[in-house]
Amino acid sequence: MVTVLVLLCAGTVAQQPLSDRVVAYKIDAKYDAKSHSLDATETLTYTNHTGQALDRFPFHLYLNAFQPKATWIREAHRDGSRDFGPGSPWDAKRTGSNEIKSFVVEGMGDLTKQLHFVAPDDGNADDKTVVEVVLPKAVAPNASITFQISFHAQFPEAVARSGYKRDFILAGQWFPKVGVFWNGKWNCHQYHANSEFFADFGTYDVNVTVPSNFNFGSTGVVTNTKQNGNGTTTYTAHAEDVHDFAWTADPTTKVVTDSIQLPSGKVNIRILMQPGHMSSTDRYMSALKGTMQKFEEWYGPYPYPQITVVDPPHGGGATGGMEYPMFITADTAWAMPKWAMLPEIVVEHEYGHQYWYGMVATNEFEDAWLDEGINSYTEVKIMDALYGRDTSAINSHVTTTGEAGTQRMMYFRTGDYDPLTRNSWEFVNGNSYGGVTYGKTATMMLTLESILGEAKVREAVHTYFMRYRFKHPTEEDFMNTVSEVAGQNLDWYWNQAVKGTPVLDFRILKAVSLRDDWYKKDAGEANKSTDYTTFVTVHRKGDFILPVHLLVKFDDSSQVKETWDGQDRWRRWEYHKKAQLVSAELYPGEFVPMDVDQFNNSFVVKADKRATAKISSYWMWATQMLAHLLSWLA
Amino acid sequence: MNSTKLFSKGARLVWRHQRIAWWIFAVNLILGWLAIGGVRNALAPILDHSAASQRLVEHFDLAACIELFTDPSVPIQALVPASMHFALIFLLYMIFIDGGILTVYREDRKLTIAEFFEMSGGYFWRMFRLVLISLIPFAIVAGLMGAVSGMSGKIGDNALNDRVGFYVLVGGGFIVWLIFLTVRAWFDLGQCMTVARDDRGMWRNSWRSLVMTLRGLGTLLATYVCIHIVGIVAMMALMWTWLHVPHAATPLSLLILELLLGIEIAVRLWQKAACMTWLESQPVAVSAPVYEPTPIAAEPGPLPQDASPNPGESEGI
Repeated sequence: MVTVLVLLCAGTVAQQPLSDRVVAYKIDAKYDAKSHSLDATETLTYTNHTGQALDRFPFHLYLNAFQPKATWIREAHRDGSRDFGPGSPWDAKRTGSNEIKSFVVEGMGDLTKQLHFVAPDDGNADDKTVVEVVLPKAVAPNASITFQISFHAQFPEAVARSGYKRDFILAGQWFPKVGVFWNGKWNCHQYHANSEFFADFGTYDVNVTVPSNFNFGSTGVVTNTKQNGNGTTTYTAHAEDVHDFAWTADPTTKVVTDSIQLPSGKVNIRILMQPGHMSSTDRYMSALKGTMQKFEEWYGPYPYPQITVVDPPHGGGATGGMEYPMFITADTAWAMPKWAMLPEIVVEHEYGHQYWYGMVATNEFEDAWLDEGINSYTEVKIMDALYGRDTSAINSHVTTTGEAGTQRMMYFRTGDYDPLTRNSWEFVNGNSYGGVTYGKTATMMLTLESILGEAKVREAVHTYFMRYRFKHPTEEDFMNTVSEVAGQNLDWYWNQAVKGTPVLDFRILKAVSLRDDWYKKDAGEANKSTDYTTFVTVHRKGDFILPVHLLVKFDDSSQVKETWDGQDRWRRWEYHKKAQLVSAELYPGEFVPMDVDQFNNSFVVKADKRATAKISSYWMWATQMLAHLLSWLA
Repeated sequence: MNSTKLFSKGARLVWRHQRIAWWIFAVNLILGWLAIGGVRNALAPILDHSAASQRLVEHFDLAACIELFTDPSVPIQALVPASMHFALIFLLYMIFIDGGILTVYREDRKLTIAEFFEMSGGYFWRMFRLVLISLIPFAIVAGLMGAVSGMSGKIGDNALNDRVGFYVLVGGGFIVWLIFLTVRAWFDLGQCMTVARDDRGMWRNSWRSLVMTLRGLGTLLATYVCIHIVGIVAMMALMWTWLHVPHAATPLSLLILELLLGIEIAVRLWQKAACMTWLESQPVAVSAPVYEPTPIAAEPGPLPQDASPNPGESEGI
């Protein structure tokens, strides 16, 4: 009896909403595989939790970004993005659109003609990615309003997280989606080349009709499948406490299923594999399960019953490496070598987004570092734990690289252009957006570990997740949480590493031991009783101020550890010993990847020429080989 | 003469006159060594006293390597062109000595250094003109490879099976490789005819060598393909060996790579030797006389006491 009661309670608890469920979408879509388009009706019930009356509602029409004069294309063309740069002609297949056929508000009538496009970010009159309606009557606080929208969506050939490739379709950002009333105002940005998304939590009940020979996968769980008798099948999917809904369909996909028992419950795994990529299935599965366990162990529970992984077809890579709630897209190739950890990295990263974006639903337009960046940090931690610190990105005999190295590589030549806090579309270019948002955040968090300790940072990230899951936290929420868990004011760090662009670069400027009796003509050969004065000078080459540790080693096996607040531009230490300097090293035993030059962080008196010899010899051989190949002309 | 005989006779020629291969290898090595002066000068101050350089020794950390080469104090924009220049010098050197090499293979005897370079110099401009002419078909071959690459991308992009593009690339690449070897054989034959028949008009020489190549295409191409396959197999075997050398064993690693390069140089010479052997087996209307050194003077004056009567006799190629 007690057991039954406990189960009943558990069941009741499980059915409690995890989020505030602002929106409830019911969509009925019919997909035309020949034209790669769909016609749909959407019923959106919006509950006004804002505490104030709302008479204006903006909606995203993301697919309209893929038009020549739209802001997305304009920015991609300006930045020279692949396929859209100045040298690339416009390909009509890349055209996408969302067209609202009718827009009815229950109790207020047909407001289709009241719709008007707005461009809050750049005023581009040709951008149609945000449409707005002003209601004749405001929606009172805690009241609900229902929109009935019929629309047509034309998908582009795979571009920026959505679209088709041959028969494959990845339907992302495909329906009119209401903006988020956040921090006292509507937040509904245009779709930009360097931006992602932001939406409210709610429920989704979606019917998608596709050709019957297509396999289907989506956000949520498919609750019903109906053969329509005309060569089509309608899949009914349900998802709750999510803020987006994506789906895929493809006739050639092979469906691989499995499950994992996590401490918080069982999760079903569906992987929709391309037949030519089956050799990557185990790699996806292994990476996914390892990642799920680590996330559960370190950061918090995954509350959904299912996760779907979509493997895009060749040529459809633009739909790969993308996250949607309970639904991620991976990336591989038929000849993916074992040493290239791309399939593992992508699966890890996109699953991580179930936490940083999916549940902790930050504003990706304005605070991209909170999802992509923190996710890149947890990617480093988990990939390193699963695949080794020095081998988690590339693990071949010729060369290796760890995840931290690749994140740092993205960052160290772009770090001084934009702060993390910049709106995603306002970065100087796509390289800076990627390097700063992904790479700098990861290196910033790894550097924070050298200040607070790995365990403390993990605890802070865990606290942040548990506190803000199913909410829309701000940058300050994150930084305050970390400071609170750390038990110290970290503003000095946030101001530089997050809100500013100073470059961190400390170096050993000079390190030398000099004989004290150098002026004596009869001093003789040095011996163990010879006195030396050792000078070690550290230079703060960059403008980032960080307390640093210095380890000085002497040839009598003694060593001295110093701490410097790093405030001044340089600091010199002086030692009087009957021993000479062996080495001076900054950040001993620490990992400070934000320092942009790791080679000048140490000085070892005894030269070790092996690295120079190695690279020089390979360079020489490469030159010789080039010369030989060229001589085939003779 | 069939391709099996050409294959073995060419190999024997290269083996008997292996000093040529060693000379070429030595020049290649010296030029490579000269090319890294700037690299060493740029890297040594950064790496030799840094503990972080261990990441490039015990294992080869790609991120660390990229960080190194994107360091503003490493003038990568100057280092790469320097290597390119040394490669071009090597090309010129190879064009220069073509005449000497082919004379050795034709006459199958050791030339003195003086003889070798006299022959090299004597044929240099003709060989140079031949190389210029050969750039036209080689450019067409390069264009064909570009077209195959583009076509494989397009076909692969539209194909359901994601390997189709690769198969088109491999199939197309194989055909382009055969065409490339045919063009190479054609101009090798042109060089051989220049030496063997003292051809002076290079356009006419190119035309005749093309006709001859097409007439003997089966034999010549089969020989070139077989020799090249030997080179590819050797390269793969040595690369496999190289992959198993410990990271820190740089000298052994370099030794294997140099051995690989030496074999590739020998393979190229093997093709030239086989080509000359094939030409010499063909019936000819006009043939250049076998080389005889030009007397320096009708009545030579007295030699210095320590001078050799024939300065090239003690050393030869």
